[in-house]
Amino acid sequence: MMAVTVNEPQNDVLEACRRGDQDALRVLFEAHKDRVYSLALRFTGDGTAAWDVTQEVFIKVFSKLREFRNQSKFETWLYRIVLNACIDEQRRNKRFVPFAEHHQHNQISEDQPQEKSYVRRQVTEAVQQAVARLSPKVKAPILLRYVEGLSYTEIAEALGCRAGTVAARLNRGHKILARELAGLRGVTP
Amino acid sequence: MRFWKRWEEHVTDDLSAYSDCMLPPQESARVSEHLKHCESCAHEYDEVRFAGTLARHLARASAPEGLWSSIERRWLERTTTAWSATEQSRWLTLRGSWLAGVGALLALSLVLVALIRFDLPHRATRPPGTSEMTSVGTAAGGSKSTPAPALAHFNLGTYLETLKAASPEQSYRLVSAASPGFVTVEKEEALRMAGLSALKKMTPLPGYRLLTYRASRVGKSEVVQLVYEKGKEAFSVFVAPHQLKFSYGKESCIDAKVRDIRCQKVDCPFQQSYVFGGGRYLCALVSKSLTAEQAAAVMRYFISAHKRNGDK
Repeated sequence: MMAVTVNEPQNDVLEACRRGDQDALRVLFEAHKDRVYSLALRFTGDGTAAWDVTQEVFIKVFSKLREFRNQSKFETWLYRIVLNACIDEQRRNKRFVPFAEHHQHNQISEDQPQEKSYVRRQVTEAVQQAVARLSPKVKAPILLRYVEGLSYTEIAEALGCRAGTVAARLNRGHKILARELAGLRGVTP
Repeated sequence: MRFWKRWEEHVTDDLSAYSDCMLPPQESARVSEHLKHCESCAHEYDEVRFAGTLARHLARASAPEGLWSSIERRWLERTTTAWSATEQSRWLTLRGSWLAGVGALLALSLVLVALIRFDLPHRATRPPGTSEMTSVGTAAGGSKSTPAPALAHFNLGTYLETLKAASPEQSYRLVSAASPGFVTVEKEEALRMAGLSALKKMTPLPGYRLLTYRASRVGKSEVVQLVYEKGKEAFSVFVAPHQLKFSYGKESCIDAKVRDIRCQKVDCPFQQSYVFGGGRYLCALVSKSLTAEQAAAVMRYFISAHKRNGDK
């Protein structure tokens, strides 16, 4: 079994993973676990579902690595798998984990809890729930932009569409979020 | 003229890209100039910026502890199962061809002997009637060559036997391991087979997660194994249709009542395993560490789910 460290070039790690090297699989997991879990969490708005999705994604990545031949960036390939897994999970669990009804987060005001960190948490929670309610087409570019910080071109590559489409979907997403979270104006920390 | 025409065009489609500085300089200047004069677009731009500021709260989250061990276990199980299936299939093919050859030779010999010895063409060909066989199924399914079983059994013996001798450290791995013949299936499919589709609460005990779902065919019935885990603790619940009976290898079962729930306890001092249910489903809870209170909660969860599912 070869010893692999995080600092080695990723191609070596991927090659070792393809050979079934357990250490390399662990390295790959450690390098991308937060990325995968975060996207799943923000997409589904639910920790248990995010846990399930993360498992599914890594099992899929490990089993499909032979098919990935560096024609695109590994991260781009990974994003596609994560987003598809999120959509599947949401479809599967629709009847088990209904998203919270329209939250009354727009009731938050500075007069309520005084601590800024508390307000910040409330705002984050409100934003996450509002994002989780977006349609997958709009949600995916929002998450890749704000959780992953990708450029429009990178988002387009991950979603397999044009940069103009990404801009249009982001526009739509921004408008919906602004309407849903209008009550947070003036309280955002 | 055309240039001025462009300044007048609304820029709503470009506002996100403008806000994120993703437009080429000339386009950016056009949007900027338009926003100075167009109230409607300026209002929309304000919304885009407001939503963008809020969306930046969605920072990366840290993956929770324990994810790797779950993934590693599922991966190892998957690769082992895949290997076994391929090997088994190869072996069966080879064995099948070999047996078919030997079988054909034997049959031919018997026919020849019969023809010579008993002059069979002139006698009744039907041999004396055979009694109805009772086939005992296993997790891998009963033999297809035997008549339909009057009563199929699902034998938990191997699974319980390994668990009995396990240390507390080993027991977590063993409880969550696949029972022989079980393969991982889709979660939704597993829940449907287990009669849990109507449930909104996904776990019978606080803190435990449903992490693994497997299924196997025993005769004509499907048995589901659901594994719930919390840190280094786990318990399994097998759910089978009522036509099936559980058997326990060398162990036996005694009637028990756990917090008012009538069930049978597997008579083994080192584990907390119960058989319960009735009606359309029969369940077996296999655990090493659950208290009687927790075991009762698990049983109640399944019984109530099955009642909701039309099990009266």
